Amino acid sequence: MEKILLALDPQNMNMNTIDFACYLSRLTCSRLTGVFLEDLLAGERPVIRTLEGASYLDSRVVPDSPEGEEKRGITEENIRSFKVACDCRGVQTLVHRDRGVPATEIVEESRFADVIVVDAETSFTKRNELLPGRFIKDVLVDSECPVIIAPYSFDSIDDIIFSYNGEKSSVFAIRQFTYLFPELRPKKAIVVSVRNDGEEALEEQFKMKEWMRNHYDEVEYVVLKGEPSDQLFGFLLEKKNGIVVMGAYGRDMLSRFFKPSHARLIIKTVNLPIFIAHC
Amino acid sequence: MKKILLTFEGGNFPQETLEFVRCLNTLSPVLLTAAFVPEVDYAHLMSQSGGIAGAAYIPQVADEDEVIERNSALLEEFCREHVIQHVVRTDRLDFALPSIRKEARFADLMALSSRHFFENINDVQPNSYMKEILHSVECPVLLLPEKSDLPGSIILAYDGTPSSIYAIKQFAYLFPELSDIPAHLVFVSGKNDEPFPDATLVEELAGQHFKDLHLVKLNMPPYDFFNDWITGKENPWLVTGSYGRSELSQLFSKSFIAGMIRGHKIPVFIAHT
Repeated sequence: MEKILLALDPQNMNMNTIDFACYLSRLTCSRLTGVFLEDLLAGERPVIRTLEGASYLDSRVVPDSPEGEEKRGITEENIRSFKVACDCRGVQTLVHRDRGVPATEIVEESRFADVIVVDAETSFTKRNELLPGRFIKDVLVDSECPVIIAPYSFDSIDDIIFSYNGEKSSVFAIRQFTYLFPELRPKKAIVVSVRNDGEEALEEQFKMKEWMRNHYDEVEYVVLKGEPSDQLFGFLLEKKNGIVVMGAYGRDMLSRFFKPSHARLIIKTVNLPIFIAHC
Repeated sequence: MKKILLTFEGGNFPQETLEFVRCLNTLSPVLLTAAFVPEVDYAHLMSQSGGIAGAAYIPQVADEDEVIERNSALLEEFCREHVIQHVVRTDRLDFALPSIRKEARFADLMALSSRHFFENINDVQPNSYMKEILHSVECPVLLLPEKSDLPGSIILAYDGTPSSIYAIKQFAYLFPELSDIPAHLVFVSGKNDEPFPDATLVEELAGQHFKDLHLVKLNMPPYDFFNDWITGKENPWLVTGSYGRSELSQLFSKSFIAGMIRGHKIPVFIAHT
């Protein structure tokens, strides 16, 4: 049983993400905690207000203003639909309503959670951002528990694709995923490593294989040659019904992997859940 | 199946730690990785003192290979008798600590004796080797006193910091079999009016992993906590975090965990990010 958080924008909820989070909850017999992140500093279109004769630009939504009222209505409605949706899927729920700066709020919650599920398109801004937005990047970098980016649409998990480069963080991500989802042990594990120089130390390969054998029944090893993010992307393109597990090698690696030209493609085209953990 | 790393330093044969691994194996099957490492890490000695000082005593084992062969045979026999899956690494390198670190990256847990770990270097624990290992290995460490048993209660040391939560999570992931055992989430505070940090949230998390969970706030100095409160529990295991080198050494200097290690009293599970 785990504590699974689902980060939701109360103004813009995605049913596919709820569907995926419910799958994880059922898989691990866990309750699903919906965290509704109410943005107090919402980037609304600024309005001109007048106070004691002086005009000023105001971008806040005052709670009892008509805009605030409308927002509250949508939030209440979405919380209701979230509960109904989970009920229909046989998942117990809990609702947290966090008001403040969304990324900060969810990072604070992450300390007390086993895993966070987010929708790649959550952005809390009306600006047209490249995927993934600022919110997702902040959560990936600062979260104190692993994060799963939900796929665009989801059927099942048949394969687990581990992206492995021999470094601390990739081993850490593989271990955390395995501990969190022991139920997926019978599934096929595919360990993908991309090399653009020489061979990996034999000794290390051997230790890695020993560990994998102990935790998964069927393991396949794939070695690709070339530039890591291009090769990995090419490999993932052909995959269906899997989950990708990767370590976040600090902010640098993440931003390279999610470089604008790639990220949109990965999230839109690959359509696989991505599990990211960093130590 | 958990992969547990156990080190054999030079000629040492950690019988009591093996006994404990046997207990764990009855709980859920383990793969024991036994790594034979040299008794002295010359690289480490060099870096500590900027050269091997004249006064540094480096014990010589007459024929280390022979001792290792004997110990390896003993280990094989022990594992066969108790049906423990195992692998033995005898390809010793010159540098003990780097090879332990490498092994630990690919292990779920490292078990080590809180008395005997490199006791030839310094028998006042935690010695510099133990501190170094505790702070640098990438998997959780279980420090074991001479006689250890499976836990009758689990003490989760909590102070509201990310590292204490991290340790609790790692323990829960590694030992889901222990979820029925009474767990005490303890916040030790010297002040009366200090509130339990994030009580609801931490209860929500820990409650998912431990079925019999109690939140306890104790107003007492750490010394009393370790000497009276913990020892009053039945077969307790202590779960604690440490964060980076400075905090770890602070804990040691305040004789927080160090007292436990020195007293060889109870098993201590330490995990850090």
